[in-house]
Amino acid sequence: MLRFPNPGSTLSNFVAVYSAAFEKYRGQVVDLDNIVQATVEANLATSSGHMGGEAIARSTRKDRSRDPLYNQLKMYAELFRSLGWLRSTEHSALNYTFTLLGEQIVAAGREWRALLGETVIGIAYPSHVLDLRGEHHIRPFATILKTMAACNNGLSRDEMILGPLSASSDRTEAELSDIADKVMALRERPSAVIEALNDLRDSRGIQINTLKNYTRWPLAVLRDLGWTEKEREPFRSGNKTFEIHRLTALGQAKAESLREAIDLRIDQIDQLSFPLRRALARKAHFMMMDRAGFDISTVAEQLDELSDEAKSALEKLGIPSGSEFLFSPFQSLSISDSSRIFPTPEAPEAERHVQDVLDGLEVGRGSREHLFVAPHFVQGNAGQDGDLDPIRQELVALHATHGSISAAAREFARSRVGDTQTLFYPLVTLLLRLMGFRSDYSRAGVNYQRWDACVWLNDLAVPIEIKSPTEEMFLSTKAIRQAIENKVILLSRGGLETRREFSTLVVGFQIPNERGDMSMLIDDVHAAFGFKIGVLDLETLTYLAIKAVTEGVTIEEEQLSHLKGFLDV
Amino acid sequence: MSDVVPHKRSIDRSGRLRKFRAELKSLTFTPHNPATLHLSDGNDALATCLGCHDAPCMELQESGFKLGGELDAFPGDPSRDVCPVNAIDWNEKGEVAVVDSEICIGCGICAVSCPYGAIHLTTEGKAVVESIDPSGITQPALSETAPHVKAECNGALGTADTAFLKRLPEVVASLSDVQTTRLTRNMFLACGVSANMRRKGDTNVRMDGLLRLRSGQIGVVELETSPNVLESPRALLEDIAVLHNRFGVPMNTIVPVSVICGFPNVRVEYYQVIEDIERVLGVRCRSITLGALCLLMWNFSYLESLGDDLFTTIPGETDLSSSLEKLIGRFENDEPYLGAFKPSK
Repeated sequence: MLRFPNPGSTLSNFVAVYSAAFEKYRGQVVDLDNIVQATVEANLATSSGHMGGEAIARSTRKDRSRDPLYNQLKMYAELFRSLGWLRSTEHSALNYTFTLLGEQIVAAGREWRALLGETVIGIAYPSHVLDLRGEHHIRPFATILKTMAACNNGLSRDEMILGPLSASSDRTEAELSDIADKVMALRERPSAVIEALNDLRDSRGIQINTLKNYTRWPLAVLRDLGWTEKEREPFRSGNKTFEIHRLTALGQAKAESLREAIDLRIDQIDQLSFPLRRALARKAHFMMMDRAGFDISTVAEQLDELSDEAKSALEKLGIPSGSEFLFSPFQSLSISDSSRIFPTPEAPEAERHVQDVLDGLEVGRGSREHLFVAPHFVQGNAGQDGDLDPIRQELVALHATHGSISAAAREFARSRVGDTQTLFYPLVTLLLRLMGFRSDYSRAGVNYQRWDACVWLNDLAVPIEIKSPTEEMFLSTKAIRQAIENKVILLSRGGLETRREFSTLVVGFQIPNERGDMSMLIDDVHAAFGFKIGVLDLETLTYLAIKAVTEGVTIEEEQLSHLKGFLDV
Repeated sequence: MSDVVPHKRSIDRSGRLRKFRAELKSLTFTPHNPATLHLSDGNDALATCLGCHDAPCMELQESGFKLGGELDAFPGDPSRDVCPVNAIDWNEKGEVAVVDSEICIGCGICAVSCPYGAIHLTTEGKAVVESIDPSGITQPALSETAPHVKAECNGALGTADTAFLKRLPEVVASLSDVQTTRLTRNMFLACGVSANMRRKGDTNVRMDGLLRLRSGQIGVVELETSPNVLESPRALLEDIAVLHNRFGVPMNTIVPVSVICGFPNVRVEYYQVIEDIERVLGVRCRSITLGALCLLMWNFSYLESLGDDLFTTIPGETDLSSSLEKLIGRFENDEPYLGAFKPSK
């Protein structure tokens, strides 16, 4: 299946990223770190909750596969290469120069849409520009538009995945017609699409969500160029409908023009001698410029000089002179060919700064160690109420089976992965009660109490925001946000005795591995409002409860009531 | 010779194609009619497009986005388009601006951005560029490179009855997120506020937008155009914390602003939560509806400061009319749509 990365799905941003890199480094050889630098300087990328230079410092790390900005710009660069705006140097696939075609996008200013439209149509596989996994002989955007025209003027996202993006070839009318037939068959009933997606997932080993992500950028292109808009389309059987990306009048006109144009592929171009290839490439490039609204009168003379050779090239390929044809040299030819055909002055390497960052202390900046707090245990009486008996027995049994508190807590948490709010909220209060604290959860419909549960520490109420695993498998900043509100409402509306300096707690199923966002926000909230936010996951809470039940010790009340950060057992 | 070719619609001249025969002193706008120019020779005339090369009716000045200091790195929408739906462009010859009435939503941002009043809103709610110089007051001026005149603007571009304002909730519902964000940003800019709104897809920076008012206040914006606005004050608390702790903005200069399409029903907890926040944290959250913002813009009223009495909500008594009266001066208290100034009962 053809895979388009999705660095961002607003096309004006996409073009702005290229323009920022071009304006900063025109005429130079750049690498991804240079593009990151230009993009961040133009306020077009952020990382780890920061912007500007701080974003780069926080993103850059020796393991580049874990560097978010680097990887985002890698996706941009891949698309810029596909579009012929950027080309790799002959020496390194990760060093680039800006092409004439890319310069034209920048020169277009506000009028970039038509040229972007030409260059997405210009993507054709195979090409000498990009290596592609799998065997594809396809011009994807042209085939998407033509398939839409043949399928009641539209395609759903899933049909795009299963039809044009999975086709191995679109070179003949019969192959195009097969793609359309396949799509129309999927419209019989909803299960046909689901089954076909499952088959594709199994055969390619790619999750369906990932397959869907590959369509985000193409769909954004179709939408932002005004070629499609969303509508509903019925399945042929039953009453159900699905979302379809329907061709607009502009999209229909584009599809029609593609149907009439002659589609030249690289294997045909490769048959030509270099002089004929050169003439045809230059003609094709300026024809594209003309279609995209550029004034080509300044190059009319040289096009005239090349016209005989270009005509011979077309004759050799069996194409009638005067025909519209699709061939985008910067998106098809080898680097060496396009450099010879569209010569540019030799490009010096742009200055590289990233090694300084990688060698310096700035890598991994923003340690959050101070927010990981080990519990202080004190002697305590585990809760003895009769309704705690079943859970106490379950924990004791797990401890006996697994031999350690950690393993028992892990197993207990695992067994609650399917809990909904109605099970999980009471569970949290039961565990707190086992630890010897008074705790209760808010009943549904009690709107003035925004918190999900409360625990009384030193006889004062501490609100708890709870996220069950079916709401959020991993806690997010949303829970932190709600914990702030819980504290504000408790302090404002009263009803329960509390103190401002007491924590507001968050309990969830799991804490995410990447805790940067949550931990920074905990510090932010403390600095701005003086509120302490404490976070526990189910496994930690269970660990504390087992400790109370089996060893008669519990977390110090003072510590829990003033917890700021993540309780770390 | 370079292989780079120019775009046919690129304007490679500087200055304006035409200029007035006398100095422009002030402009008077009358809703749904072309504006009247008052010239230094004592004559009044109908406004007309001068063909400015920098097209302030189409392209925003980058300086408008500047928030100052570290906040200049805010990852805002890079688009400099004045029109949130790209309805305005040059005519084929690149001589005058034209509005595509099929696309135009009638917000009037292009009209208030034109320094010469050449655009007005029709009764049907579309922007129209006057391009034929009906009063014959211009002359060719290819070399006219003087900065734009900042003439005093009187009157109003539209009223509560003008189509865009009357239908604002429906219009906004038909826009994409990017277009709504751009509409909001550009209305703030037109009201003299430096504004930058978050680029779609950037989830690293919490707030939806930032404002710098001439008073030095920094507005932190949550934009919520759906009826579900309860999340907005909660999100503002998070924004304040981030803005203060990560970007060093002093707490006393931060003004949290919920930009909403309309007020929710009076029973919705929105008002109560805002009151809770003020009571506990001493932070006053403001609520500005897009309708109120549009009226400010159409009346050429600048939002120089968000004083303590502007755009506040009080449970049971919320009404933005008083804020608009203070800023506009004269004001017909007609609510253009339900929830534009006050919550429905």
